[in-house]
Amino acid sequence: MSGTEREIAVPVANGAATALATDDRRFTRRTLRRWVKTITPPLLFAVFVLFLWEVFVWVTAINALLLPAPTQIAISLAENAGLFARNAVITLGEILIGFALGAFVGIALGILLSYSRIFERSVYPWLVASQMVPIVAVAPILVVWFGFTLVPKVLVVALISFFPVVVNTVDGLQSVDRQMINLMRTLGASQVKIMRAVRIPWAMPFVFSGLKIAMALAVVGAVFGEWVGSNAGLGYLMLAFNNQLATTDLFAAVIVLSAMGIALFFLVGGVERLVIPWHHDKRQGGR
Amino acid sequence: MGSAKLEARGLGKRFKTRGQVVDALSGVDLALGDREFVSVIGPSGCGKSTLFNIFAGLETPTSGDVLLDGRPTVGADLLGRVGYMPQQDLLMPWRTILDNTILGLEVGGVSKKEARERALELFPLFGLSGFEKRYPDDLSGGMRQRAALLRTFLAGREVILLDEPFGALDSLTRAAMQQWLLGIWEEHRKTILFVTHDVDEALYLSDRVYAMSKRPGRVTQILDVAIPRPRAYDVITSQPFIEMKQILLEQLRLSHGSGKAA
Repeated sequence: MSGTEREIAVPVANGAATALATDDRRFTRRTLRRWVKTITPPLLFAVFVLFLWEVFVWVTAINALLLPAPTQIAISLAENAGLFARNAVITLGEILIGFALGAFVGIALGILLSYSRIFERSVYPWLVASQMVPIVAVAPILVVWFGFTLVPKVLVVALISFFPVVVNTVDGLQSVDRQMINLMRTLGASQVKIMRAVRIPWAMPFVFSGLKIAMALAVVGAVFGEWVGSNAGLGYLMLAFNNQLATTDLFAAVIVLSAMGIALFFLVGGVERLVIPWHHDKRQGGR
Repeated sequence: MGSAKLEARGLGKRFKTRGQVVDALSGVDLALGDREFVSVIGPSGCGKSTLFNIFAGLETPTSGDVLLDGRPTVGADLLGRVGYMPQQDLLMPWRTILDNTILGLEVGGVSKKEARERALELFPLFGLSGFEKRYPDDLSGGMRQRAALLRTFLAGREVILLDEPFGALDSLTRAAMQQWLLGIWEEHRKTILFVTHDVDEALYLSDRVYAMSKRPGRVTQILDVAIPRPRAYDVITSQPFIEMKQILLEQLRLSHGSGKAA
């Protein structure tokens, strides 16, 4: 290449440009193999524990009201599949709506807090203080206000899940590298462009950490909301089985709930991978 | 210098922190002619970075003027007018190398597609071929610096400020990068202001070297480097080079002055 600096500004479509057309395939066979490698050990371990449990129950002939065998629980799961499915859908709805509300409010508050000092100074301490009020005490009040409807459960979920999102969003937005912002300024970038190109991507990994914690809490929140006042849902089912001393069914309900919680947690992780692949790649060990 | 591209006249900068007054710069006169390569050399704490921040528009001088193309321009008016490459490469970990390099074009309103095409054309020259779609974490220090340089180049400013771009590199990579930078500059002829505290680097690269003193930073010596170009790397062992090096080193020793040797 020869010539003046104007050379730089001449756009030339060359062969290298076509390399861009092929989008990288993130979910290739190699990814799949790595995934299998990650889930196999914990899966094998679980099978091992279940086996020990089963043996323990049969050997000691322990009362099924105290500790049912895994096979008995599996039978209960199969027999009551319809019942579990119906109630799981209800709980899932409460979790998702409450989580969405909590996440939205959390992110919005986080942005407001990091942009307005007055807002931060007057509101942030109360946000922290609000976490000292036990949800256990608030939930019955919500039931008094809204009855046996969806609302109190959604509110409990939202109340319990918004806090980690706020804290992480604020941390993320406030930790943005000043130098990177200065660089953007010297390139002539507007505040809006800086927000979109630097602040938001910078804060994303933090926000997702918050969302993952929030999702784990959301499941707890929904069950608790149902315990305080409801006539449906997995939490309600657990309470009912407990009262009937149907320990096997109770265990089955716990398993359904746990499976749902794990699935939801990984769902957030999956979304994170799609939204900020570069961050995931980095955590995988420098690739 | 009548036709200066970028010029500082009596530039001073005073910081006040916790009741303490610090003069970072005091009466600095400095001029870059069109398409000149000029270096600023000095001990740490001589206000080099402050000078750069003022030229880039990130800070406003307490006294004196900055003239861009002969017109007084200060503070925010300089933002977006002068290319600036800070010490750290500041590549964004969420962007591929290609998308990092087009940042300036993107901010300038060029479509992503066109910006990428322009960038790709320069990838071989910057030794980045094959790394277009990689993320910054995949690259070595030297490559990251070249990517940051390409980002600065592509932004298309006529004046470029380089703040110790090779400071963090090992000496072999560093020498290679210096030769490479000269090659690029000789082809594309930007006006470059280069900060370093390496005397060899300053002399090898520059048309002129400004030596600065410790706080408050002021220019203590201006040295024209009368070595013809293109320069092979072995000029650094030539007699005129060594003489200039002695002058500069002596000056830098003096300007360390009362302070203990750092």
